[in-house]
Amino acid sequence: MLSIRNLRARVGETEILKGISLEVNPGEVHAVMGPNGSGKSTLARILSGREGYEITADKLEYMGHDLLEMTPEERAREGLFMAFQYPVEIPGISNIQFLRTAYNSVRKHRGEEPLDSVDFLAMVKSRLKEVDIDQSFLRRSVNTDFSGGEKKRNEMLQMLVLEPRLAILDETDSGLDIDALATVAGSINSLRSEDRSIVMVTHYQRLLDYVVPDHVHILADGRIVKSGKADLAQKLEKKGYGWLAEHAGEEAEA
Amino acid sequence: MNAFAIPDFERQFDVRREQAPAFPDYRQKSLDDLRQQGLPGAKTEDWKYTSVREVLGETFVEATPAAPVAVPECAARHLAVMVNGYLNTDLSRLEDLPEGVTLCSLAAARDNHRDQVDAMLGRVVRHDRHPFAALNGAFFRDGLFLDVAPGTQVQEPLVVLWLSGAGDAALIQPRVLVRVGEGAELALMEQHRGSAAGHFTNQVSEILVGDNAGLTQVQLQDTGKEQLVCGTHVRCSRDSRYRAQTIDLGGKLIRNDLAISLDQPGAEADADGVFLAGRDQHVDNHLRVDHRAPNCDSSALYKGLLGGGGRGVFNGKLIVHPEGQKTRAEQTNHNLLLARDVEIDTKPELEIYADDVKCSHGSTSGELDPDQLFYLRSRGIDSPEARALLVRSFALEISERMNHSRLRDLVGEQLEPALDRLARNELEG
Repeated sequence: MLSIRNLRARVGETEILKGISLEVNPGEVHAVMGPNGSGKSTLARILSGREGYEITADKLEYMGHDLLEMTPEERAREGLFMAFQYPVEIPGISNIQFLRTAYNSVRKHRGEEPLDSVDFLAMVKSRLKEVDIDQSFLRRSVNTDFSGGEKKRNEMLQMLVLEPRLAILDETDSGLDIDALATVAGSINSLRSEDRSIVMVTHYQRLLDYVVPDHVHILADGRIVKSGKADLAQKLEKKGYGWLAEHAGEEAEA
Repeated sequence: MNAFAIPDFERQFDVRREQAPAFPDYRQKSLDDLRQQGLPGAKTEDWKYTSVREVLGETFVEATPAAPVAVPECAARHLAVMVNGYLNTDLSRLEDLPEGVTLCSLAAARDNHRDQVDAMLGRVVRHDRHPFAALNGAFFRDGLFLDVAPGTQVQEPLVVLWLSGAGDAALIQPRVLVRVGEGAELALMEQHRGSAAGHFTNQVSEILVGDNAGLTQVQLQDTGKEQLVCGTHVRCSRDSRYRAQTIDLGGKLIRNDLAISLDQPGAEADADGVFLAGRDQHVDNHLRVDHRAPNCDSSALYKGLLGGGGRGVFNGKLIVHPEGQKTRAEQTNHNLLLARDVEIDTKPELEIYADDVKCSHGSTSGELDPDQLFYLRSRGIDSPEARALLVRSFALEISERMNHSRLRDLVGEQLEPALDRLARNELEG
């Protein structure tokens, strides 16, 4: 699904990612954890096609395509979805219009007929329940004056509507109260299937109580310093990122 | 046909004096006001960014009633069609206007509603710093008279179509008088539709909004190769509500002077606008709001969209007079620059002579937000479509502020395709 080998990224003189390698197979859920400034959000942004980074990699492939050759919209149409840490407010475009335009762009790419507004609304309504938001939400401008929790739920709504093959969730859990966290986790779990993959980028272990990952990677200073199973996250929760820094130091010395 | 070069106004006035035109005293006063301040030039502060050199260099013919070049389709139930500044009753649909509404040519009103005309003509408009209004006062031939009797409700919009005839470059100078009586409501949409001809329209409207009355006025301007200077002077009485939307879809030269005076306590005014300017187009909106009484509210939001080669001007002036205690007022102008070779001159001004007021003003100009663009693209929407969506959303914020749904739809029918054209042109260019 996603194959990364020796990914490096810099902005100007500053190297942010210093050689990341990661394999994500269909059906797997990966968690990428790390302290602030470790480069985990940069990794998510690069995968979604954000410009502004000088990127080199021995390999950076999604579904066998070279990601660096694909525009952000091509990635999305091929089923790559990024849930933003800070979803952007767009006054003047209604949520329903935004969702339908996005949905039909993906359908058109697949050679399918666009869905008319009546059929689309029916489909979206069923998804609204899953993310526990009111229908009036659809008429509001995209993310405009939404609370933090509403913005994250809106990201989940988009994810459920677009049914991606690979979902990258950039700190979708941060800033959520426990109810919203449970809802968001429910959306992620409902997406889990044999042919889909999920990469959760997170600072906290909390989300992983609800969405148990197959693999956990710990990122520090632009490198994956440790990979393991779900229990690695729990260990990290107990010992904190300080333990990791020492650990990383040992490894670097070795 | 009488040739008319505007700088030659003194001699033109003498020629007309012999024909004993109507309203001689007002015309004389207008001439004096014009002579005193002179025509706008490069050094005139209010005309610093808008040149009328071409208009002042042209020799026009004075417009007479004519057949319109084309009549756009209009499904409005109440429709007044003006051609070259003269009411054309054959093309108009006025039968269904509610009782209490009087709509006729200004010439007819002079005969049939003389007292009302005398009470309004020249009483609302300011000539000071409005040389074209003074020019209109000295030379207008006809125009439109609209009176809504106290308590009369006109919910279905009245559409006034301003069209022009074919032929040589004409000087079109209509005068419009509108009174909305006490407790009455009117939804008015004026549409200026230019042709390929080199006409120049210098229109002046005088509007009175009575006690506790409401007027919603849209001015939609799509003037093509024609040039338009449009002065709209409004006085608002106690507890009245005036809501204006100026929608400029582009033109060789469009200059609006909207002057709103809140004369009595409790009056409210909103003035919003969208202006589009592309290559060889110049759109200038001058707004002035005077707070002359306590407890009045006003707000203004103008949004400019400039495509390659386009030129825009916004000047918003908010004046709170010493009587204007407890004023709440704001003026904002945001501009979206869609190409590099555009120019926008924006200047919000605030003059406050009262101490207990809440006023704000501001202005921004910038390109499309790259974060918004990326967000849309990351959902599979391609770059051209994402840009078109953002251009629309920027402008349609103004439509969302329009609470008269029928007027909002009428504006949307023309604004939305114009926005798509602008976005598309910028992508191709």
